[in-house]
Amino acid sequence: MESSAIFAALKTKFGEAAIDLNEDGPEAFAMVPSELIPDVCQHLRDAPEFDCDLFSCLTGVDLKGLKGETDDGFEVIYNIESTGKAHCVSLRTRVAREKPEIPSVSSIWETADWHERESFDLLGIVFTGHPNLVRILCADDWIGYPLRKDYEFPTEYHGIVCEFEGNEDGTWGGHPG
Amino acid sequence: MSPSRDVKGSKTKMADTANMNTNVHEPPDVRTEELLLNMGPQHPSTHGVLKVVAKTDGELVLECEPVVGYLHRCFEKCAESGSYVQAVPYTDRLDYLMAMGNNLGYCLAVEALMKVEIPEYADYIRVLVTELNRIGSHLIAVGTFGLDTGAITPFFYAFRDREMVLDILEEICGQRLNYNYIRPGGVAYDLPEGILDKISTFIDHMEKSLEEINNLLTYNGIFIHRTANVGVMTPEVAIKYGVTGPNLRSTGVKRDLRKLRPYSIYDRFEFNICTGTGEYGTIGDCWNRHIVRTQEIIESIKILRQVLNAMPTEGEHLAKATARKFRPPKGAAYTAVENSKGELGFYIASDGTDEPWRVKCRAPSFHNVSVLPALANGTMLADLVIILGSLDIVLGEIDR
Amino acid sequence: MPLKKNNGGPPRQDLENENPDPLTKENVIITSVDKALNWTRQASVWPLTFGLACCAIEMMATLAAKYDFDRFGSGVPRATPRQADLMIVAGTVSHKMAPRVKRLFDQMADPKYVIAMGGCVIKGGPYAKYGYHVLQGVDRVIPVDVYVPGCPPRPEALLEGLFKVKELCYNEKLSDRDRSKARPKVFGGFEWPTKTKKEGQSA
Ligand code: SF4
Repeated sequence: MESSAIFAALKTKFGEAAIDLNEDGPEAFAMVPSELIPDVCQHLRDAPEFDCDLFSCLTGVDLKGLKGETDDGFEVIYNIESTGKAHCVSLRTRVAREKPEIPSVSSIWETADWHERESFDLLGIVFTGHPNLVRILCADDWIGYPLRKDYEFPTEYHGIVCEFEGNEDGTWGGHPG
Repeated sequence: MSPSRDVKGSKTKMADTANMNTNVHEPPDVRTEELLLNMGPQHPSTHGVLKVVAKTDGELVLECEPVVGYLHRCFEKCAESGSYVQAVPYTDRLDYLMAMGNNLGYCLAVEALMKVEIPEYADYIRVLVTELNRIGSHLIAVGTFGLDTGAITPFFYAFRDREMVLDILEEICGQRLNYNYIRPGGVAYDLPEGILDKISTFIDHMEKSLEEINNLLTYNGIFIHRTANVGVMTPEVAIKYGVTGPNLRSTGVKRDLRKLRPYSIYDRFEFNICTGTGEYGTIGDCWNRHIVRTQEIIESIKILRQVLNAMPTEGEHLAKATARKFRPPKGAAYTAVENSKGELGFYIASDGTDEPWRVKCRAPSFHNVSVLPALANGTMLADLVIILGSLDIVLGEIDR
Repeated sequence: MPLKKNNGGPPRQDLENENPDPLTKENVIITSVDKALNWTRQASVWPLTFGLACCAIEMMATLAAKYDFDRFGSGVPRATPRQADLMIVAGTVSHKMAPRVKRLFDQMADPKYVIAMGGCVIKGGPYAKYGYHVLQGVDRVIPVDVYVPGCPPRPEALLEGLFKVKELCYNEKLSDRDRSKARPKVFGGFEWPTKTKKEGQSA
């Protein structure tokens, strides 16, 4: 199926207003409100004409400070594919910075489990209904969410001194020269 | 207790032995308990710094859970802190066994945002080095899988041949492991003189050498006993966990992005998609995952032959548009390529400046290792090592 | 071989000229215990099987056919720190991994040596600037004897690092077997992380 046909079918199912299409950029995507995400995903996986069985990728993006962007929340991108029908779908949703909560899709695709944990770990996006939402890459007692644009680099971790240029005050020791 | 050491009369001895046997099967008052076993992060068979927490009952693995993150090197932060070209060396260090493939995946993702024309000559060089690197990567997979099953010799054979790949790649780009060769818009340097002859000598050698490795390892009876019917993965489980690459193909699914959505100039070459056939066991077992990799070496050799025949003798190696600082227009896209481990995807968001706003890497090994509990629960502890080895994971891209 | 000198003393002409026994004259070597032990020790420096990242692949290549660590007596990587003499820290050490590296080092028996292989282990390498989770040099956690720079270092460079370790072996005294004097200093005060919440997942 062409992505335009998929999006048209989604629109008829979930309503004209709910799904906002964008086909100008390098990748066509549908903007979906965060509370609708599990329903849309379930439909994409189960409806025989879509049959999206492979969850390729989940990306979280921090929008704070992005040029031409009034929103300072997070955007989450779902890249989904059907191995049988060989088509891809890209969904996006946005959440507010103060309350970054999205319903989890880990019960629909197993793959989403680790991806959501990773987004939680690095960006602090909370996926409600996730069975085990703990840090996956960073150490368990890590402080802060590193991929947020306002992340402050650590100066010390368990007694080990860290010196980073990334810090505002330029405390990076680094290599001499 | 052996009878010869027993000092009592032979009759009691017999009775004792009989008693003992029943005791072994049904211990009346032996207390058993489950044991939580930590394998790694320093363990010779975890292929790096992976930790597997296994709940065992005797030799049986009841449950296991991979714990990742011991090599988290902040790739995504580093990539978005520099310019587009400055992120290329960091992609080398994701799957450090297949650095060319990572370079290619990242550069194609950048080019998808830019709409830049790649010179044909550069496209040929890209395919050439990527397929050479794929051979090297699969050789390591084959060699270390041999090590996991206890066969040490094939490891030396595999590394001997891989050294030849490295010599060629080193001559092309000056590094043995982290090449930083493919750049957005082409490749960094032209090919050195006389390299094509060396490559064709190497692939002739590799064909014979692979037969040797196959005789030594793949069709070795002990190896087949050890790996066939172990860790069987069904296509449904594989897709559910996002497993791609040789691991998915071993379950019989014909999915190769080089054929499915041909990128670069892969549509010009003839090659087969190798799938598992279950010759010695079940489709999707450890042996199938191994044989698919050895077959893919042959397919890579096929592609290399066609590249050598069809390649233009000279040309531009880098597009003008990206030779200096460049700014892709605002937008974002997800682009995936077929790496030696599976589908390697990059989601790149551009804000219109010369630095990417966000780079996300969809690493194939990240998904391939997440399937471990589904395969290993209920198997023997010794099989856990084999299953892990057959998945061919690289920690650099799991933890990023 | 007849000895001409008495270890710093006057020449022992007497031994050479007057030893009538041809057997001992030819075959007896007089040396110090330190030297004899050090000579044997340097010929079998066993490394710990301990790979972390890309550099570990080069370490494997050094162990394998073409470069062959075994030529220098180090081709027997041990899977347990208890049997190893040499720890080649090959690859990036993250903050999550650092306590484990420290524990492995502590588990090795004295005398022990550490080679820091690659830029990452020396000072954070390519990740020194933005790698929030990367330890900026393993010498903040364990003492390092030999630094081998490169990203990754070539196998020849690692071999050179091994020769440096052999030199260290040669120049050691039996009286300082735990190498407390020879061992370089660790900078930065390291603390063990507090116990993590999950059972069975802590260090
Ligand atoms: S020094 Fe370079 S090659 Fe070695 S682990 Fe670090 S990034 Fe990898």
